[in-house]
This record gives sequence, C-alpha cells and structure tokens, in this order.
Amino acid sequence: MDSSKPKAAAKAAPIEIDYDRVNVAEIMAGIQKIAAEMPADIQKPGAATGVPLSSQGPAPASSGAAHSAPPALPQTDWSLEPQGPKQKVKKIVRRLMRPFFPVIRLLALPIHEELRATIKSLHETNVRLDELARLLHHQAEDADRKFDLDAQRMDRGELRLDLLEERLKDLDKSMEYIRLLHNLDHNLVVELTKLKIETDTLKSKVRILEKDQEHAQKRERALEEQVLK
Amino acid sequence: MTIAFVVQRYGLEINGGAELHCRWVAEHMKKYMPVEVLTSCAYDYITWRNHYPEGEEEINGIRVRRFPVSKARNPERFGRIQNRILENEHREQDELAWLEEEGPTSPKLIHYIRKNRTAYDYIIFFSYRYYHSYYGIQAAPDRAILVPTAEHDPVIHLKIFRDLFRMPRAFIYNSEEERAMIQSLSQNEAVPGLVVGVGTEVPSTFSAERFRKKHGLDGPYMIYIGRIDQNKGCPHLFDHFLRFKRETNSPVKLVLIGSTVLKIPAHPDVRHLGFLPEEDKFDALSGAELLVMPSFYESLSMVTLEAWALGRPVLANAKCEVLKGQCLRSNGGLYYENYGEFREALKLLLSDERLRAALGRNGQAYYDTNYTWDIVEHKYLKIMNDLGAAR
Repeated sequence: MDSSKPKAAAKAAPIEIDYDRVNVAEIMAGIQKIAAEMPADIQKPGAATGVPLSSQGPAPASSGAAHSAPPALPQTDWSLEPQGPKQKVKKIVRRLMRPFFPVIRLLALPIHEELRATIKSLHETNVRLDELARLLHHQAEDADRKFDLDAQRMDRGELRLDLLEERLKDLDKSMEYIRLLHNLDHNLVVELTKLKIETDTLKSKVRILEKDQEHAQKRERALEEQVLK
Repeated sequence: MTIAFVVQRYGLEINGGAELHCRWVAEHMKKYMPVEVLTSCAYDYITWRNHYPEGEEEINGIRVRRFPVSKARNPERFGRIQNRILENEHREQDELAWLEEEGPTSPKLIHYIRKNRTAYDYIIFFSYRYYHSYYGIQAAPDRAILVPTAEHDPVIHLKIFRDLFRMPRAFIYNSEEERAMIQSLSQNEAVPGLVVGVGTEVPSTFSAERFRKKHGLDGPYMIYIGRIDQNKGCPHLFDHFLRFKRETNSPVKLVLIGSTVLKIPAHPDVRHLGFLPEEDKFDALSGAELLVMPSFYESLSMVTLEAWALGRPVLANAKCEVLKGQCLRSNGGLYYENYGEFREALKLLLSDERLRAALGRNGQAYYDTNYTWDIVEHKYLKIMNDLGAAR
C-alpha cells in the first residue's frame, strides 16, 4: 500500500508552478500526465499486493479497468506444465503418438456404429419430414375447403350486391317519379291560384255590369215617365 | 423605467439557485428603478402546490404579485412523459404536454403579463425551462429579457426551446459556456446577449475558528456546499474521497453542508452538517482548504463564486463545462475528469499551501473583476439602456 504513495508523490514534484502567475491549464496538463501513468504504477509487482484498488467497497464502479487487472501470471499455461518425470514421459509419448491419432481414432471407433447412428438419424429425419408433409397436406386441404367456402360466400355476397344495386336503381326511379309529382303539384297549385284570381275578376265585372243594367233600367223608367206625361 | 422579474417561485425561504439569483438581482435593481416580481403561489418545486396566498405582498421593499398554480405536478407522470419524449421520436404537441406537466402551470400569470405588458419597460424571465418563461415570453416578446440559467441537461435539446431562444429581446447569460451552448443549439446570435452572472452577499465578518469550535472540527477539511443528490455528482465525490483516504492516509476531512436525498457514507472523516445559516456557511468556507464542486450540471455555481470571494481554491468536476471554463478563466481552481485526476489534483492542493493561496488570490481577483454587485448591476443597466437606444 505504501509503495504506491512515494511514487505518486515523487511524480507530483515535476509539475512546475510559478506561484506568481499560476496557470491552471499547465498544472492540469501535469496532473493529467501523472494520472494517465497511474495504472502502470499499480500493475507493477508489489502494487497488486498493496491497496486493493479494484475492490474498494463502496466504489467498485469507479475503479479503472487497469486497476482491476489481475497480476500477470500465465495461470492456464501453468496448469498444463509437466511437474515431474512421469508427466514429462507422458508428454513425450503424446508428442510421438500425435501423427497416429487419426488412425487410432479410426481403429478405436467402430465405423458401422457411426454409420448406423447416421442412418438412424436420417430415418428419424425422414419420419419427421413425412409427418410434416402429412400435416402440410391436411393443412392444404383445410385451406382449399376454406377457400371454397369463402368463394361461395363471396358469390352469395355478389348476388346480394346485385340485388341491392337493382333496389338502388328502383329507388332512384321512385325518387325521380316523386320529384316529377312534386313539380306537377307545384304547377297545379300555381294554375289553380291563377284561375281563382280570374274568377274573382270576372265576378267583379259581372257585379259592375249588373249595376250598369240596374242604372239603365232606372233611366229607362224615368224616360218612359217623361214621355208618357 | 419599470421592470418586472418573472420567476417560478419567490420568497425569503426559497434557496433554489435561479430563485435566489432572481431575488438578489431584483433587490439590487430596486435602487435604480421601480421593480416588481411576478411569480406563482408555489413553494415546493417538486409539485408546485399552491402554498402562498394569491395576490400582492411586499418582500424586502419589492412588490410581489403571486398567481395560483392551476394544476399541481404529478412527479411520476412527469417522469414518464419526460422519458417518453427524451427517448422516442415525438411531436411538438408532446413537448408542450411535457411543459404543461412540468409547470408551474399558471395561466393567470400569463394572462396578467399579456394584459399588463405595457406597464413594464422590460420583463426579465428567469429559467428557460418552465411554463412561465415559455408562455410569458410569447405574451410579451417585445420587452422580454431571458436569464436562461441553462445547464447541459437533455431537455435543452427540445424543439420548443430552439424557437423560444430566438424570441426575447435580449439574453443575460451566466457564463460563456452557457452562451455558446444556447447559440449552437438555436443559432440565436442575432439576439443580443451579455454574460453577467450574479454577485454574492459576503458577510463582513466570518471566523473559521468559530465554525471549528461549534462543530468540533479539527485538522484540514475540504468542503462541499449544496444539495446532496445524484445530479450534483455527490456519489462520485464520496467514492473518490473514500478511495483517496484509503490510498493516501491523508488526514483531510470532507465536510458536507446542505440538505440530502442520498445516504451519506458512514466514515469518521465525512461530516454532514445539514443545512446551515449563511453566517455558518461562510465561517465553514473560510476555514476550508478548498471547496469541492462535483456537480455535472451547473449554469454558474454561486457557491464557487462565494469560495472565490473568500479567496478559497476550488476543485471542480471537469465534466461540467461551465465549472471547468470558470477554473481556466480565473486560474482559481483545479478540476478532474476521473479518479486519477481527482487524486493527483487533491494531493497537490493539500500538500502545497502556496498553490492554494495563489489559486485563492486568482479566484478572488476574478470575482472582484466580474461578479461584485456593482458590476452585475451595471451590466443589467447596460443591456436595458442598449435596448432602449435601439427602440
């Protein structure tokens, strides 16, 4: 733990500061340089056994990837390394036998079993395919039936549509007829009104003629009286 | 000249960033012109439920008109809608539905602005992402000034805001980074804007010793001030700090000031003191070796300015562009992007007293040049005078 401290302190020293004219940008450049070098320090031997930077309790997320890298020990290779004379002999024998491994595998594995397994697998696949084909056939037949039914329904629907169209045409005709009747109605009302006015006028004329006649008769009687005197 | 400030919440007991920012600016501008505040009746920023009575009241000499919130926010439904629009293709109507849900939905406030806009020469809207700014600016675009207080959060990419950012007469930005972000999103370079920010109220006296005595603290400590939650980067701060302690055996302590929604790690060198009065806060800040600011989203960070006002250095999260930019411009703080940089920067700051002092001096000079109230007030006056001259 302490091993990293003097190093960092020693690295802080190179930041040159002019205390009369402090330049934050320059100081920060120095700090960033030191901070950038920090992971390398931590990975050095001894540092890994020091402060456990990658397991900081409340701050696991903030630890850098470089900090959490394990010590550079070739652990996987190490586990395969021969450790005694017996392992060494085994390794030499294995290396000598390596060219013959395919032959050994061929001899050791019964081919007919492999073929049988393959054929069995193919047979199972065929059975599955047959089953799938049968299902597909059924589904196709169902689809055909549905299609026929739908076609029939559509035909029926079309017939209904034709009937509806005819009804619509009849309705159009009826509406036209009603419109004509309405016009006729209107014209009749107009004519009747005219006739009524004419009747009233004629009646007035008759009344005037009656009065004129009455007056003429009175005058006639008066003249007759004068003549007879 | 009469001006109105429009903000989502307003009150002496409201300590939210944009709300406090608005109150301080309004209180400082009242000496130059009549100032009014138009706001909602809400106190709770999660639900916006009506808390204050509707109508007028006076707070620190400013007339405040409160309008009721017609629909309280359902946080669960809001979360669902927000996830849907952020993760899926959507229409403008969906974004408007999100805005309605975000609130504080106060149609009466918008109606008032539309009806009485001629009573004010300028209407200054705070926080772009809320209902009052979106509809309020549309109700009075000819006299609207927007203080967006924008952070780099995903909703800023919504289409409705792209259009909104081209609408006001002018912008008052909190930082160069905020201006660059809004301009790159909306191409609103034609709309005049000034980087202003906000000043801070530093008490005339403060004492680190008083704070140490009161809270039984000895030895060096770094301080975090603010809401302790996920968005403020506090989980990362805890991880980095505990790891730093394990690796370096440093005696430094972490003092946390502010209300929390997270579980604070149980460690003898992590001290959570809760919400403290302003006086205690400045006492604590003056005694700290440095202020740590781990937030990912900030449009200004008032507490960073407070640290610089007291001459304390800052260690900030570089993933927040504003904080990094402020550190670089001021030369008043260091920043980090990962644990390695946090460790090296903190180690350097704790071990080098001269560096801390130099960074603190630079921060203080930066604060004095850009963020004293005198400067902030004159920038506000300048932008209003420029707009008046252009009329």
